[in-house]
Amino acid sequence: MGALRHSLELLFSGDREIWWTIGTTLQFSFWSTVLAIVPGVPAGAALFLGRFRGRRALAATVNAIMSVPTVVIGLFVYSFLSRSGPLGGLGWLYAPAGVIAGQSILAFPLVIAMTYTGLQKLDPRYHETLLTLGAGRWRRLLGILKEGRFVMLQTVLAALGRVSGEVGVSMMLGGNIRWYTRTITTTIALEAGKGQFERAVALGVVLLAIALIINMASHLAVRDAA
Amino acid sequence: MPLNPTPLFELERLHFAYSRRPVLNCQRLELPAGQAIAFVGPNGSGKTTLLKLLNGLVGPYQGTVRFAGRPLPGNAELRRRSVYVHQHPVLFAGTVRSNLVYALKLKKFRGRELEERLQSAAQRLGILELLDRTAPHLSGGETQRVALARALAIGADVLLLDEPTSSMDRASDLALRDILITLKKDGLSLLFSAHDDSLVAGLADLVCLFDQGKPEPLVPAGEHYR
Repeated sequence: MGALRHSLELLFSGDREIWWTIGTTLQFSFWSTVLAIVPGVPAGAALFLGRFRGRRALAATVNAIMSVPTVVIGLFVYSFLSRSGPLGGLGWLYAPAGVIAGQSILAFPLVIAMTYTGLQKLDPRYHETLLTLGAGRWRRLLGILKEGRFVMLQTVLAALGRVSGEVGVSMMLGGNIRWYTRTITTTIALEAGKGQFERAVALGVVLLAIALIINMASHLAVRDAA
Repeated sequence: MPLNPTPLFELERLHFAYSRRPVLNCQRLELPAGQAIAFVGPNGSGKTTLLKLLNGLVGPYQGTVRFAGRPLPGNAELRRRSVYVHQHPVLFAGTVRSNLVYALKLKKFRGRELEERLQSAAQRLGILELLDRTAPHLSGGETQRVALARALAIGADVLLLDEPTSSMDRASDLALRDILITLKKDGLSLLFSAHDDSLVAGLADLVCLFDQGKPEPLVPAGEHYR
């Protein structure tokens, strides 16, 4: 209990580094979620609206990619961003851009899969009504996304939860550089490794709070949709 | 007038399955224009699926379906002239007026023409007093009439109706029957599924009996009930 009290004191004392780390994590999570949502939601909706052979196989593949460990995604992106990789010239490795890119790629299949499965749960009559009234592809897409706005909200929150809590990508692509790419999860890993648990627990509490807030918001979104 | 006018719909060697489960099998069937044609048969015999298929809402399928002499996929005339109305139609969030306006705008009607069409369809279906009501709060009978008004407003002359009077109180049922009879007299083609013999006897010119996914040749309604 003493350690927890020290951790909370550290958190509420306004420790500059802790709050910088929290801010950086939220910033990375926000941008990587945006970058995953922008192509991921239309791709998931297209998978839902499309009538082509192999659609289910594609959906199953996307679902499978979703369960790939974050460190593998990190390694994959690392091979592109490293000095000898095809995108090495960008200088994104061990930089915020690298972490954001990696987290976006991590969340992308999740966004597609959640959009696809979420839209499948919508009343099919909605899409059929749009179609029979002569709505074109884009109108139908917009109409479906409007009807499925709670699905979209849940997808955004799930993506946010996925990227804010991951450690593999941030560690491999960000390098855990102090005042530059250090996030909550990489700090926890580092501090726990050093045996300095106060800082790790303080950030753990913050991460837990973020996860709880995201889950509660997601739960409310589902309840409102129902 | 040609002796043998082009049928409204022609089906040839049609085979349709949901996930390998055969739902429809039809060697040949012609559905003439300007008639009220009832699809009659037990639940699960393929009536609704055929109505949806004729409107291009389900697919892909084996065989050929033609509308006004042209194959179905990509048949712009079908989308312009026909509307499928669900057993429990979907009205979008907003007022009845906004539902009609949305459908009219999808067909690129604007300004005075839009308003004239809206008023004309609302008058025809007796929903003028409902125009400012919230659409999802309407009763089953009112919803059905709004859905029909929406179809007529955009100029549909082929209505595909799935059990149009089911789950309605007696007064709404009778009112809708009168409307459908008037629409038939106005020259619209009505293709509808029904379990209610009195609706079939009172409205249909022709009857198509379904037996385990196989539509039988059309017979005059009088002959069907002999």
